[in-house]
Amino acid sequence: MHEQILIRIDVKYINYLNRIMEGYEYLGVVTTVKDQVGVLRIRVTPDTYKEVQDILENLPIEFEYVSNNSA
Amino acid sequence: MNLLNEMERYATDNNIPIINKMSSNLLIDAVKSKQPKSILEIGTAIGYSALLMAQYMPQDGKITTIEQDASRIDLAYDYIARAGRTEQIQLLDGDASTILSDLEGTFDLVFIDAAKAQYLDYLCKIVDKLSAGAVIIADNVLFRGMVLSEEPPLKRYKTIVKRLKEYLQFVNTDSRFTTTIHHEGDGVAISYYQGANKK
Ligand SMILES: C[S@@+](CC[C@H](N)C(=O)[O-])C[C@H]1O[C@@H](n2cnc3c(N)ncnc32)[C@H](O)[C@@H]1O
Repeated sequence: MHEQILIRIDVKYINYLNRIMEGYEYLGVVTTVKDQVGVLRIRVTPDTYKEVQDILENLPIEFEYVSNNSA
Repeated sequence: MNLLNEMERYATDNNIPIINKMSSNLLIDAVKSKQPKSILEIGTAIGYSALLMAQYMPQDGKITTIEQDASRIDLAYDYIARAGRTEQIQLLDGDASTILSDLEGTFDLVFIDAAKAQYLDYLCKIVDKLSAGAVIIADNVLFRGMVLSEEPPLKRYKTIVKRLKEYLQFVNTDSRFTTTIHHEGDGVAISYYQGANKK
């Protein structure tokens, strides 16, 4: 079940990503992960997972996916 | 300038979405007529609608409000403190979908104004925490006309429109709720909870 996407981005882009998700009416809900600088949890549902992933991958910023175990 | 006006100005200048005039009139009417002792708000932003409701609720009323955006939470704390309402308004920091399941107590009025794709999920998570006769107010349910339109919605809003339709379908057909959809503004659904024994 896809319920979250974990990514690491430069902290200077956190607000930018929040605003992008707001533009998509919070299709993915972004929260920071405690004690993991720059790691964000984007909460999705099985039917929004793919859409949110597409949005992320088309943003003009660099990010990397973080596996569930390391965050 | 009073505090609410100052907040409106701040929200406009900084692109922070807050309740529009038409929806806020409906919200105020609901608070005035229900006189709720306990209010739950999902989506605080900077605390504007919470402070608005606080003006019209009973003196011993309490509001629990949830927000996940750290910078908005800081602003909301400041505004709530400046309004002298820290005793009455409890601000919870985090994702509503997680927080709602852990909430204690019952609510007489719920204002849903956060992630539109999650409205039904929010409602299902709090239905056992509604007092009999509770009012649930959901903002933006017609979503820029897309929910009732015959035209297919823009691709980026497809899921949201689908989910809002599911929310409206639920509150219109589940016998525990009586719902009126107001077409003012971006659409506001006002539902009255008839109590668990109606099911
Ligand atoms: C339209 S604004 C709320 C406006 C506020 N009710 C007012 O009228 O003053 C929606 C807010 O919900 C928050 N939000 C979105 N999804 C959320 C979630 N899953 N949990 C908590 N807050 C959320 C957003 O960060 C945003 O600030």
